Amino acid sequence: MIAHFAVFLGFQLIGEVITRALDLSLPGPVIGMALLTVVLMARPQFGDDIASTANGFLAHLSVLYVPAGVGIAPSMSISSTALVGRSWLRSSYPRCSPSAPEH
Amino acid sequence: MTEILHIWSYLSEGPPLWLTLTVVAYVIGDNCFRLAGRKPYVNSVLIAMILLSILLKVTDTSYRTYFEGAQFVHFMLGTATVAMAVPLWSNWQRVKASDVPILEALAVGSVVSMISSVAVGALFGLRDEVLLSLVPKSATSPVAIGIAEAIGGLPTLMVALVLITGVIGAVVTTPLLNSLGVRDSRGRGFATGVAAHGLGTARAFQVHGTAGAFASIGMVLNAILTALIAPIFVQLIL
Repeated sequence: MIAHFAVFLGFQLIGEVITRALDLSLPGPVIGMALLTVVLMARPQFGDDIASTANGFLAHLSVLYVPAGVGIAPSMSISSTALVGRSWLRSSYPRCSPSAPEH
Repeated sequence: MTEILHIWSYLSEGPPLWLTLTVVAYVIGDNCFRLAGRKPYVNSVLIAMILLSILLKVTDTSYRTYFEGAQFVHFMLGTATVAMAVPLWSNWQRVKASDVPILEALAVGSVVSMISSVAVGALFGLRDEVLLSLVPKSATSPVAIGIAEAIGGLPTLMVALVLITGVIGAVVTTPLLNSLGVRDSRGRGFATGVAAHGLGTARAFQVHGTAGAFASIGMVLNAILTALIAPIFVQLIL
């Protein structure tokens, strides 16, 4: 499993190097993904090996968005979280009320 | 008491505390999602975000300090993007079998997302760089930052808009597609990925493996297409 992880990180690194070297507007990971797809098509056996690691990793993709999300949570609560968070937030934590966004 | 304060002041400045709490908050959110019967509006990311921002506020911790720890999780976004090569590869035959509908859906989805957001923004009086920041809102965040720099938007605002798009997308796509009568997992997944990038894709993976695979394909293709056409679109509207 750790070897499979090294593969993903390796392709990410290659992608970063390519995008910097060629001054592309595409981000490194997207290039890394495209390259890995080409490699998998050439060597399907390799794809069968890494599939379980990739699928397990992608099943928890959403946790990776939490850090960036926390940065915008105060401003989001005014605009779009009426669905879940707002009324609860207001009643149980008035100081964090949506009417006083941080930024 | 001073002992506790000592431990706190050490922990609150270092990465382990906020890294752990990020994962714990997500686990709480994920459990809420399961306990609520996997309802789309009980979004685990949204719950984790709210819990952590309350915690930061209560403990008077800056986002910068928080990010020192949480950046390790954040970094893995790029690695996860690379890992999406696997569902792309394993579904390649099915992608090829429906290449024309996929390309049509991609072109329409990508262009409509740009035009609609800019049109609504302009209608409400947004101008210049704030308006431009709306253009790549449906592209995945690492791509959107690159586009923001290229077209002259505000990168920070852009990341916020991208995330808001993703959360709204993850929450509304299931009821929306149900009411539109879209039943094909491939179509549902692809639409979610094009409109709501990684957060939509994460949601699609929760619902169905095929939907997740097509959502990652939609996300990736939309990221590439947006990077290519956003500069042209901006020239047309300016």
